[in-house]
Amino acid sequence: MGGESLFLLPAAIFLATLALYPFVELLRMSVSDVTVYDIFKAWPFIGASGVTSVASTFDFREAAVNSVIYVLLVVGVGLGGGLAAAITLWHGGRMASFTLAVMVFSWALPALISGIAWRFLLDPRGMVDNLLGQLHVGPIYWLVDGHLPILSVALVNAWTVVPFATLVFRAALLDLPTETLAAAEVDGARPFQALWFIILPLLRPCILVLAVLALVYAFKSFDFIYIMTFGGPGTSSETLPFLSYRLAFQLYQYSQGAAVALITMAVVLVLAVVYTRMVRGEERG
Amino acid sequence: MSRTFRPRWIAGAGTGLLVVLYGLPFLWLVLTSLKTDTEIFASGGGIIFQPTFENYQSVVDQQLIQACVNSAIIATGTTLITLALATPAAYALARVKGWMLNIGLSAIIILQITPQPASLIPLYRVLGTWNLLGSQLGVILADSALLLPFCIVLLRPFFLAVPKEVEEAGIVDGASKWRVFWGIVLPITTNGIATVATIIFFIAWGEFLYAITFLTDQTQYPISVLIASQIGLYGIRWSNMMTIAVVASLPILVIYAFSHRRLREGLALGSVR
Repeated sequence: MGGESLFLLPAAIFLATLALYPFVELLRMSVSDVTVYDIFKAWPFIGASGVTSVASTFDFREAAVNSVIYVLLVVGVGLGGGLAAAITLWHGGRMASFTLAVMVFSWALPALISGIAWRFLLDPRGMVDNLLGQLHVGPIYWLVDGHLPILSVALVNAWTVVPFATLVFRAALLDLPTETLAAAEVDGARPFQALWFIILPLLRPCILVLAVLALVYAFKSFDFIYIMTFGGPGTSSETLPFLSYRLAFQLYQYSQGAAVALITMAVVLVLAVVYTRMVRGEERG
Repeated sequence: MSRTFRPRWIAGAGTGLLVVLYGLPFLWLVLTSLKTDTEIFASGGGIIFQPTFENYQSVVDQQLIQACVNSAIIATGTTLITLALATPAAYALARVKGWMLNIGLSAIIILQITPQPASLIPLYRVLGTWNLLGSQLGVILADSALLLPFCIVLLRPFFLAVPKEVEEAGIVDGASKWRVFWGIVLPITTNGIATVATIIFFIAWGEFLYAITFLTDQTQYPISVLIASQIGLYGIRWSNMMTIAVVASLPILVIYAFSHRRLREGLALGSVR
C-alpha cells in the first residue's frame, strides 16, 4: 500500500482539472441560465427547470427515438456481423489473415475519413446507387429520404464496429475447448445446432462484455452523424449527443445542451448498471 | 473440426463478401482521387478511366502540408502525454484493491460515457482562463483528457497479465516500487503499450471537434479540420475532398502496415479479459 497510489497521482490530477472539473461545470450549467455573454462570468441559478423543459420538446423526443434506433442497430449489426465474420474466418489461412487485416484497417481509420468516404459512396450518383442501378433498383436516397438517413448512418457506424467484434470473437473461438466441439461433431450435430447449443453459450461472457462496450460507444457516438448528415435533413437524423451539440453551438442554449448531455449519460449509466446486475444475478443462478 | 460446422463454400463466399465490403470503400476513395470532376459520377461503374494526378496537384499546397505537420504535432503530443500519464495509472489500477480501485474505475466509467460535445463548453472555459484557446497545446491537453480514461482501460489488462512472481523477485532484491515498474514491468509490457499508443495516435489524428472549436488561426488547423470544415457546405467538391481524405489516411496506412499483426493480437487479448 502507498507505493502504487503515487503512480495514480499524475493521471488523477490531470483528469481532475481537464475532465472531472468540466463535468462538474456541465452539471452546474444544466441548472443555470448561461448565455453567450456570461460564459466566462458567473452563471445565474435556475434549478431543474431547464432539464424538465428540454425533456418535453419535440426535438428531444425525436432525438431520443433516433438514439434508441441507432444504438440497437450498431449493437445488433455490429455484434451479429462480428460473430458471423469471426466464424467465417475461424481457422482460415492466408486469405483469412488478409481479410482481417483489411477489416481492421477500416476500424483504425478515423470516423472522419470513413464517414466522408461513405457519404460519397451513398450519394445518389455514387457507387452504391450506381451498382443498384445495374440491378434496376433505386436510386435510393440513403442520406436524404425520410427516416432512411439515421438507419444509413447507424449501419456505417456498425460497419466500423464489426472488425473489432470479429477480432474479439475470433480470439474467443480459437480458445474454445476442442474436445467439446469434436464431441458435438461425433454426435452428428448440424452446423446450426452446434452454433446455437454449444458455441453461443460458450461465447456468452464475451458477447456480454462486447454488448456493454458497444452500447456505451453507440450512445455517445457523434462523429458519424456530424460528418454524414449533420443531423439532417432538418433535424430528422439527430441523436441525443448531436442535439446537445446543436442546442449549445447553433442555438446558444447552453443550459439545455448540458441538460440533454446529462440525460443521455444518465440513461447509459442506468442501462449499463441494470445490465451488469442482470448478468451477474443470472450467473449466480 | 470447424470444417463440418462451417462448410467450405460458405466460408469462401463469406470471406469474399467481407473483402468487398471492407476493401472496396477505401479502394474507391483512392480511385476517385485519381479521377477528374466529370469522371467521378460517370455512369457504368467508373472503373475504367485514365488516372490523373491533377487533384493532387491542385490540393497539395502550402496549407495542406502545414495541416499535415499540425496533425503530426497534435497527434504525437497527445499520444506522448496520454501514454506518460496512463501507463503508471493503469499499472496502479491493476495492483490496488478496495476503495481506491472502486473510485478509480467509477471515475473512468463516468468519463467514458460522457459524449464529447458535452465537454466542449466547460473545456472552452478552462482553456480560456489558462490562455490556451487558439493554441495547439490547448488542443493537445483537451485530446489527452478525452483519451486518457480509454487509454487506461486499454492498458490495464496488459499489467494484470504480468505474473506476480516476476515482480516479487524484484521486491526481494530490494528494488523500490518505481524500479520494479520501470525495470521489470515495463520491459515485458512494451508490446501492449506500443499497441495502445498506436490506437491513441490514430484517434488523435482523426479528432476534429476540439480542434475546430478551440483553434482560431487557420495556419494551426490539423488536416482533420480541413475535411470537417467543408462538411456543412453545399456542393462539396468530391474530387478534392476525396484527395484530401486519401492524404489524411496515408500516415495511418503506413503505420498500420507495420503494426497490424501486433495490433490485432493486442486488441483481441486486451478486451477478452
